[in-house]
Amino acid sequence: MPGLFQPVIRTTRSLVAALCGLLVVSGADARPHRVVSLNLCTDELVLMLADRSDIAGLSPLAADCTLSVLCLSAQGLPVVPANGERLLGARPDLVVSGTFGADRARAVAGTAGIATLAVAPATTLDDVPRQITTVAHALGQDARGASLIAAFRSRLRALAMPVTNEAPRAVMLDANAYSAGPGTLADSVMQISGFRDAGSGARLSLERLVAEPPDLLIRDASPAAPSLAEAIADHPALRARFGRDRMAIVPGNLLLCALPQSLDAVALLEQARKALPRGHS
Amino acid sequence: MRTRGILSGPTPWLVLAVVLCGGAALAHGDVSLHVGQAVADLWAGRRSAGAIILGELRLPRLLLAVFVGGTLGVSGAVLQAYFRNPLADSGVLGISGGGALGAVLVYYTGLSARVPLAMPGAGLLGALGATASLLALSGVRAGPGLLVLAGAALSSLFASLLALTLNLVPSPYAAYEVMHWLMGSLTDRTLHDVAIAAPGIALGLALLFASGPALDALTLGDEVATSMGAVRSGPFGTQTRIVLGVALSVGSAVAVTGTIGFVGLMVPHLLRAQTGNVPSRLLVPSFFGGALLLLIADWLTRLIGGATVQIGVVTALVGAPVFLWQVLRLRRSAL
Amino acid sequence: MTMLRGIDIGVRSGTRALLEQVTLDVAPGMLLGLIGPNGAGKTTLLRVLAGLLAPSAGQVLLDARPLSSLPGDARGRAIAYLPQSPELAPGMAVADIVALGRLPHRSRGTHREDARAIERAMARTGVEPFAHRMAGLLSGGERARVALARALAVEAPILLADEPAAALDPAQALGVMALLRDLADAGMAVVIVMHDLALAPRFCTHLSLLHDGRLVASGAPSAVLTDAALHDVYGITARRVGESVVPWSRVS
Repeated sequence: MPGLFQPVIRTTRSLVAALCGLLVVSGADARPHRVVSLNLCTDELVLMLADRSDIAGLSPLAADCTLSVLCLSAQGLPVVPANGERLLGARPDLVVSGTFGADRARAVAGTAGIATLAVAPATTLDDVPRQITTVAHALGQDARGASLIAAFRSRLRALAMPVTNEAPRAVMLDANAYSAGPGTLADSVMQISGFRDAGSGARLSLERLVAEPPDLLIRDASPAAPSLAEAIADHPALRARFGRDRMAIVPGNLLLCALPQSLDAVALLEQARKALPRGHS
Repeated sequence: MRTRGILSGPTPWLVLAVVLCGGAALAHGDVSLHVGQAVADLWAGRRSAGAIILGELRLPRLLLAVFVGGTLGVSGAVLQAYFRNPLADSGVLGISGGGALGAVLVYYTGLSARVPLAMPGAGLLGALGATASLLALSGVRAGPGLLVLAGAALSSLFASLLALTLNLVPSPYAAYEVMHWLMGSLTDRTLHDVAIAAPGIALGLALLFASGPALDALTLGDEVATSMGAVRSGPFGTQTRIVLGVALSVGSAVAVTGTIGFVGLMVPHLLRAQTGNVPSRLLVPSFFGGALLLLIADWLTRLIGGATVQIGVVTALVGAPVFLWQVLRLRRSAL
Repeated sequence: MTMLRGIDIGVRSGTRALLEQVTLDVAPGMLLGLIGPNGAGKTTLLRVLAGLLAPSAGQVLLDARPLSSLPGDARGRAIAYLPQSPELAPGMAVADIVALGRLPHRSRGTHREDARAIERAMARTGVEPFAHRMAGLLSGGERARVALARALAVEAPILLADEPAAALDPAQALGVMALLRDLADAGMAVVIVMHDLALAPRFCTHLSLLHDGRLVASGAPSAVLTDAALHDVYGITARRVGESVVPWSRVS
């Protein structure tokens, strides 16, 4: 559902336009001009923060709309898979990646004397400003980062709900019936939306889920490409137990990386909370 | 004497065991349930938690264990009698693998969501293709070694084609689902899955049960069986009906549960002596024996490791030694 | 009156002729011995008569109907066939094996009829004492009698048997030949392939002598087994003991 995160993209674009003059003034030429990102989450940060002409490569996942909220903006940009040879071939002057994965490619970049930035993964929405600041600074786009953070903070303030002991309980149903749980972004989004996370991170037993149901079951949208892992969310037992108003659909790409767009998931959950039947809200 | 009643032999005991184990499978699960209340709710159409757990989660699992297990048992008994080879089994011969490959091709490309019965249809075609390749490779009267060798080659070919398919299809999860298709699983299946598999299993089993007299006659050799009119050649002959029966039932079963190995090998072997080694008398007991084996194996998978242990792991752990025992016996009789 | 008739039968395998223009009649009351040297085409002829091998020329008639037009089980009820080395499942009990002879009747016979036919077949062949033993535990002679019992349990008017006495010791061979003659005398039509020239003329009512795929002589044993025929077809001289022919020396 691209419509859901369209507003944020638009915001980003108008910001870019507004700050252009400012950048030219402060734009010392130390700013990297050939940025390669090796990780989906850094792809999205780079797409929001860097000038498009400065992006020399993104990971293959950036253009996949089931995973990336900025898949449309990623189209047309070069794809660089995380292997040393292809990475050097892109002639980067800055390599941005996560702290996990692509170790060899990063090592190659380091040996070749290319600047690298490894961004620790964000598991709560609180991490979003820190990540934006770090990446924006490395890209030489501090001002753009600051205004993105300001916009994020004000939307977060508007949306955040308190979690009380009477707050409704929710479970996020992942592929293969695993639940999100403490330490995941989904958990953080649920809490900010005013839900208690009843998931543990373990594989859920459908029997237990039916016998002791949370107030809300959160699931991904039905995928275009079928798999048994995701078909579990369509199990008739869950449909019978939770019905329409106790099941919320949150597109999975909103919860993969902690981004300002993750607040769309918060908005969706708050809608779902308002629609909960009496006795569950 | 030939038509000794269903009531003699191991069948009544097996039916009793299936009923007991099946009842236990309905009564026990991850959560404790007031079964009487759940049945009453189910009967009255109330969608209580108990009714949903019983009707939508435990019942499909039970039905699949019984019908898929039964299918694998009967097809094993028929294949062993037809090839006159104690090592024959739909898994060993690659027939299950062909069926699973067909099902994977239509499921992950999204075809099964648009075309009703595409899954069992593709399972049937895959299993038929596998059987045709097997017959072309080794022939019906190949020695036990050649037949099993051809089957092993086909099994690994189908397994690798299946893995390749799962790597190429669009869903990022597909590649991790190779275990479901190669080892089989009854976890979190639905009544819809039961409905998908049922027609092919029923039709296939009807063909296989009807082949009993032909299988009996074949114990006297091809010529005598033909001379008695019990075995017919030609496009609508005995071979066609047996191959179609196996492909229909096994193809439909694996399309839903994936390939569960060694059931068809073990069950007839364990029951043969109790049925006087008469192939037609082995068919009904093999159905209930297969059903019982899968019910027990399913219970064991839950006991061992929750939902993540594939049922085929358990059947292979028990079945592989039986297979090796058969190999040793063949070697001794060859000496 | 069930009559089996082969007319101008020819069988080719590639370019080689296994049988050429063989015509013969089998009628009730006959015990017809098919004799001839190895490779003469005896077994091929028996398989054609049983409907197991379609001749490349000529045809087989069963009561004036082409045998090939009959449905399999109807043919199975009319003609019982016993191959040269019968296969028996080693794990099956003798009684169960003999019962398989009732398979062609499964749509017609009542259970009581089946049980009686099985009892008769076992009594005639003397396999009752080991009716419940497994076939794999029997001696060669016992196995041969079980296979014969299975063929007799069909209770077909015609019995075709390929060397039914070949694997047996003299006493058992005599017993089987006498049994086959009794069956013929009781109105059955029996055709057997055999090599034993001592037994053939004593028990058979008729003999047909095959040589290189052709029928050389047919008729009463004494008319078929002439010195000239033994010389030309078998390349032997023989001595005679009663009706029996004892091969004595090769013709150089």
